[in-house]
Amino acid sequence: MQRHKIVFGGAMGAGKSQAISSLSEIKVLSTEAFNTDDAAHSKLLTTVGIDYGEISLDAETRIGLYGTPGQTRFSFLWPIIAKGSLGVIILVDHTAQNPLTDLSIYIEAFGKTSDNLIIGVTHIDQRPDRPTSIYRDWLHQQGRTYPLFFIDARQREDVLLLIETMIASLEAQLGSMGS
Amino acid sequence: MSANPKSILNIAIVGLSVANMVALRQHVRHIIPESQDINWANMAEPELDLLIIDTDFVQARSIQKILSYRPVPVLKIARNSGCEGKLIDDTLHLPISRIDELSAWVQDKLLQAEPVATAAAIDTAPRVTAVTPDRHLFERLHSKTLGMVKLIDARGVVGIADTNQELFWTVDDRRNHVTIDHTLGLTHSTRRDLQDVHTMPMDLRQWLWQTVWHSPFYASLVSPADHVRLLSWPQPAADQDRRDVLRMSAYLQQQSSSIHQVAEHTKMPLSRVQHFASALIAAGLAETVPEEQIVIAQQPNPVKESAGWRGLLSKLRNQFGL
Repeated sequence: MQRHKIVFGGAMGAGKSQAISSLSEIKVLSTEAFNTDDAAHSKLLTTVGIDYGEISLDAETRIGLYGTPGQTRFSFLWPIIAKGSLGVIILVDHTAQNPLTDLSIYIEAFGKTSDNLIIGVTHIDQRPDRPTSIYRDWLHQQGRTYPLFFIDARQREDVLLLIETMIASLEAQLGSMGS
Repeated sequence: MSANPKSILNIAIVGLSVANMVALRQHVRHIIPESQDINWANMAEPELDLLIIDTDFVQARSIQKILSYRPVPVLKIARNSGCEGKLIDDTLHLPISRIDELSAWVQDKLLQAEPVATAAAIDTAPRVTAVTPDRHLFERLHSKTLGMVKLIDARGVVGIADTNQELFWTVDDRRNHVTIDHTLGLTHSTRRDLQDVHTMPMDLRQWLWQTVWHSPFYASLVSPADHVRLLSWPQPAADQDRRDVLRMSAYLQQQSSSIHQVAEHTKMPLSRVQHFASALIAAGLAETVPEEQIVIAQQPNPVKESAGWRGLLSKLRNQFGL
């Protein structure tokens, strides 16, 4: 049996659990608890361990979908989970107090263990006054060209955009660009 | 004389306000048969078919000079003349209330010499008017200091851009038509104009990318020999183009390349890659760079070169219908 993994990282409330649910063939296993950190986010429940979903490509191949806990006190877990993954999808909540700080924390944490980072910014419609160009400008200042998309994590098609980008990036690394 | 009417009519408009220009373009477009394209040309266009000009500008020396050696039908536009809505002696008096007089004038002065085409002779397939690529217009849109500008093409106002915040608001009736034509232009705007647009702003660069990518115009802002450096990924729509867009983006993320090289490596038609890169340039998501500045990137994880990986990625695509 071959087992691979795709990792979803990001702050509390960014949509990791929803993104995994939209892809998983099994009921997502999650360890949620009442959120006691309402200064960081107002959601009622939050993941305190690891979300786990799964897809089977064939009888011999499975992909595990791992959602990392959002709180920074669990940051020691992030690189452990991401090690050996096909890619890491970082979700950033556009309504967060300082989404650029969140982004930098997760890039710093996951960039050490994965070549394949994809960024999805969520909840765009809830802060129309905050320009989306801040993420592009910040990445440009860092000299990074990670894929950056504005998505709704509840929409499977949006999550598939992130997955397909991860695949396209891996294909480019393989040099297997021909269809 | 040709058996068919001219497929493209070159029409220049000089000296009118943006609102009057947009209204006149719409009227003229309505009058001229769909089988004929209109190139909203510059006055300097050597093959000009019609000049529409404000009466205040007709006697300008530069205009008279051009008309002296290149006679074309001239429709003069007058305002506040007391003859509102009438067309007298080649002069249309604004505002236009009915277009029958204008229609008759266009038929007489512009279309009369054109033989009537039979139904079989009319090619109803959409045509792409040849235009000179204008990168400058897009470069202006990426100037933070430009501020609020209104984007206009022959079909009217496209939307409002805030170049400082890189936001874009579409007008409601253009929201589902993500295209622009070759007459795209800019004019000053203010926040007051936002009353007439859709309330939710979009990312200006992503909107520009989508729009240029879906429009047949501006497909050659870069040449096949140009080298392109990706600055930020375009966000493709969930359509049949998405796979190609992501493949080209992923290749350019690996290393800056010429259009030729991207086409060769992705096995995509050169014209498609050129259009893709042109849309990136128009949107400010990529820049052209001299070839000598290109650094060959090292593969971050060369061990992935194996048939097993290819098979896995292929299965993943199949699993999700990608």
